[in-house]
Order: sequence, then C-alpha cells, then structure tokens
Amino acid sequence: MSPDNEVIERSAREPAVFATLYDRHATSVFRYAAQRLGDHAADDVMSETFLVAFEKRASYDTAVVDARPWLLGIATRLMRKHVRLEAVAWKGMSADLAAQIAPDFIDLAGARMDAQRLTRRLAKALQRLSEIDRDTLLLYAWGDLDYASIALAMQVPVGTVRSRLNRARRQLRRAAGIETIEQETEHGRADAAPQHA
Amino acid sequence: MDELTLLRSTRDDTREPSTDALTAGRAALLRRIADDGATTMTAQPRKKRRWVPRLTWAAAWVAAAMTGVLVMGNVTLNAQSAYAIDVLRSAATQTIQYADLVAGSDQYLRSRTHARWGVCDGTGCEPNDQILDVYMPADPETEWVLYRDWGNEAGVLTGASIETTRAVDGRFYGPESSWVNVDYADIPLDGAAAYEWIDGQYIGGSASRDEDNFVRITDILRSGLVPAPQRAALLNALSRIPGVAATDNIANLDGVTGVAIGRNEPLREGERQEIIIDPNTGLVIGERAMSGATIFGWGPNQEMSLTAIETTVVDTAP
Repeated sequence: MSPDNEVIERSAREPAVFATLYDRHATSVFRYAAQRLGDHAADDVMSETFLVAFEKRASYDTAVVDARPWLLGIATRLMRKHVRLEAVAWKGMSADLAAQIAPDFIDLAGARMDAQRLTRRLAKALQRLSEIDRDTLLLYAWGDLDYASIALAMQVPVGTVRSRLNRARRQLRRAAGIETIEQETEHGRADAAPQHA
Repeated sequence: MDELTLLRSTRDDTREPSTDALTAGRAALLRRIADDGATTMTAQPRKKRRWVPRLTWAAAWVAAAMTGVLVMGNVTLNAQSAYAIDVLRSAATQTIQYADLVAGSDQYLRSRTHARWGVCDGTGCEPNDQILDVYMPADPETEWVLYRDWGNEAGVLTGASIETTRAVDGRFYGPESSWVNVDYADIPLDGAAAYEWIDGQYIGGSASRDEDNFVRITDILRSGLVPAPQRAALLNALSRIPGVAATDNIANLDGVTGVAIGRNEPLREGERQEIIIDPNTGLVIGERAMSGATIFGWGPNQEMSLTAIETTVVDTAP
C-alpha cells in the first residue's frame, strides 16, 4: 500500500488516486468533527475537507508520510466557519466533558471539592479557553494527534503546541484547585510531555 | 494520568459516518477531480499531442455494449463472478503445485514493475514509463534495495530521475511505510481462513467492505514477492469476495497475457482496478485501471494505466 505522501505526489499526474486518501481518512476526519460539531455538520466538514485538500495538494510537504495531521488541520480551519454552531455545541460539550473528567480530577485533587462544584468549575475553565488553545487541545484529545502532528496541522512549532497545551492544562488545574500539586510534580512527570510528543 | 490524558480518554471512537454521507462525500470529491481534469483538458493548446486515447466509434460501441451488459442485471454479473471464482481457485491450486522462486542465502528475490502512468500538467497528459526494481533479501529483516527510474520525472528523494535506495525491511520512504505492508507468515494458508483474516482487519473505508477487502488482498499480491503457499490462500480468498470478475487474454505492459481479476462495485460506476495474473503460477504479472464514466478524457471502459510485473531471483543488487 502506498503511503499517503506517495499518493499525494502521484495525484499530481493521476488526480483520481487522490480518492484513496478519502477512503483512508474520511472516517477519522468525521469522528473529530462530529465530536466537536455533531454528526450533521460533521458530514459537511468531512466532505469539504477533502475538496480543499485536493485543491491544495500541490502545497503538501511530501516528506511527511501521514496525511492525517494535514487533513485534520484543514478540518479545524473549516470548522471556524461553524463558529456559531460550535459555540453553542461547545457550551454543552464542555459541561459534558467536565462531568466526564471530574471524578478523575477529584482523585488528582485529593477530593477537595464535591463533584458537582468541580464539574461547574472545569466547564467554565474549558469555555474560557481561547480559540487556538481549544483547537490545539481538541486536536490532541479528540483528533488523536501527538505534539509533532498538531504542529504540522496548525503550522506552528512544536514548542508552541507544548506551551498551548500546558496553558490549557494549567487552567484546568487551577479550576480544580490543584496548582500546588502541579508545582510539586511538574518536573519529571511522564505525562507532562507525552512520549509520543 | 494527567489532565490532558484524562481529556483524551473522552475521545469517542465509535462514531461512524453514515454510508450515505460517505458516498456523497466521495462522489463530491470525484466530481471535483473530474472537473479539475476537464479544466486541464480544455486549457491545453490544440497543437499539443494528446496522450489520452480518443474514444473511437468502435470503442464507443464496445463501451456501450459493455454498459448494456453491466446493466442487464445480476444474471450476467453472476456468470462473470462464477467464472472468476473458477479461475481464481484453479490458479490457487496451480500455485501450490508451482515450484516457487526462492532466493538463496546470498540472493535476492527481485520484483520488477514496469509502469505506464500518465503525467498531467496544465497542458495535458503524457505517458511516463517508470521502472521499479525491488530487491528483497533472503532474510527480509536485512537491507532491501529499491532501484527506481522515474522516467521523465524527478525522484522524490534526491530530485534525480534515477534513485537507488536501501532500507531494512523495505522501509524506503520512512520508518512507517514498508514496501510490503504485511508479514507473510501472518497470512493463513487456508483460503477461507485467509478471507476471514482479511475481513477481520476491516476498519472502515472504501466504497464497501467487499471493495476494501479486495483492495487489501491485491495490495499484498501486487508486490510480486508473496510466497506460493500464501499466494494460493490469497487467490482463494479473492474468489470469496462478492462481485469479483475475470477477463481472459489481457496483455500486460510488456505484452505478456494473463487473466485480469477485477471487481464490479456498484458505487464505482464501472471504474475498476484489476490485477493481471498468470493462471499457471498465480503470480501477479501486471495491473491495469479501467475507467468507468467519462473522466479526464477517457471514455467508459478504457485503460487508464497499465503495468507489467516480473519476479525473478538474482545474485546481486545495485
């Protein structure tokens, strides 16, 4: 099976082979978009992502084997057109998200507050994220990209990705009231810089 | 577990796009691709020689007849499939009896692909022949060699038109992309088990599950390097895929004839990728791509690309 970069390189002379990328990655793009916007809008984002990718294929860096970060980067930019939809969706989602992670945060925080209160605080912290921090965080969490791939997707240095994620992480920790623990454990913790970063 | 990992644990991998959405998205992409080709075609100056074969009246008649055959219904398709099943199972039996090419300890199994792919730019399309020689050592975990003559094009590694690359395990274009994307030892040797093995690896994609199974099997076979027992099992597995079809006496790019094995996928409107096999050895001796609807100047059922694949044992690699 030809890797993605070869398919894209080949599509310059055989445009039809570009459909192979769709077959490989459409579901992945859909999942990421659906979790952010819901299924209906995700159908449009999935379709549009590949139309844009086809138009821009000449600018693809053929040294990069896997095209998924590139495609998710395009999808992320396209989703900004749905900013109003996402704003509504995100409000509900961030609450859901907070509710899902609150019990684990309580473990991290050493049960300093009740789940309901923590959920509210986490939801607020998530909602306060800037657009670029949110995009970065969601590419990591729901796009299943590592730090280097997010850098490719957002066309920024890896260090920028790391600092954006650290900022998002700090906001969540602050909301959970576990800043002091962060300072104690920041150095040398495995999760601070994931192995695949 | 830290906060980011917690967030990651909320990822929902169960969401799937609907078949309708997938089909619509693919169709939209194909329309855009076709528009792109049409724009390219109309932009070309008249004096430029067009490589894309023009649809002759005879070809149009054949294409129309073929279209008629295809829409006549399942009776014909079932007959095609029955013949393909027979050809594939017979080839599988022959393959097991065939004294396979095996590289000695200091030798290589070499697969040579002679490919004719069109190169398109703003002025039209021209044929470009490439040669890809893959040298697989007796111990596949040692260094492989790829000799690639890009024809009129610049190579992607050095920019030169001829490139020779060495890499352990055939990973010529990066650590994540092996030339052969499967460990042959993993392939079950029974046809039904090989089919189950392929089908069990389906993770979505393609126009249908059957199409995806077909593509993944032919992707393995087209390397030209699959040992006879596994090749026999994969040919038998191909025969179990609904819609498989066979066409006799198809010449590869070097003029060697065999049986073309393709598949009729309703969502492809006649467009198909085929492998050409030698029915006596089960070896893949070429591939061809046939157009469905009119696209990039090709009429229905016309050859868009053609290759020849030859497998031999050699003593040295470049």
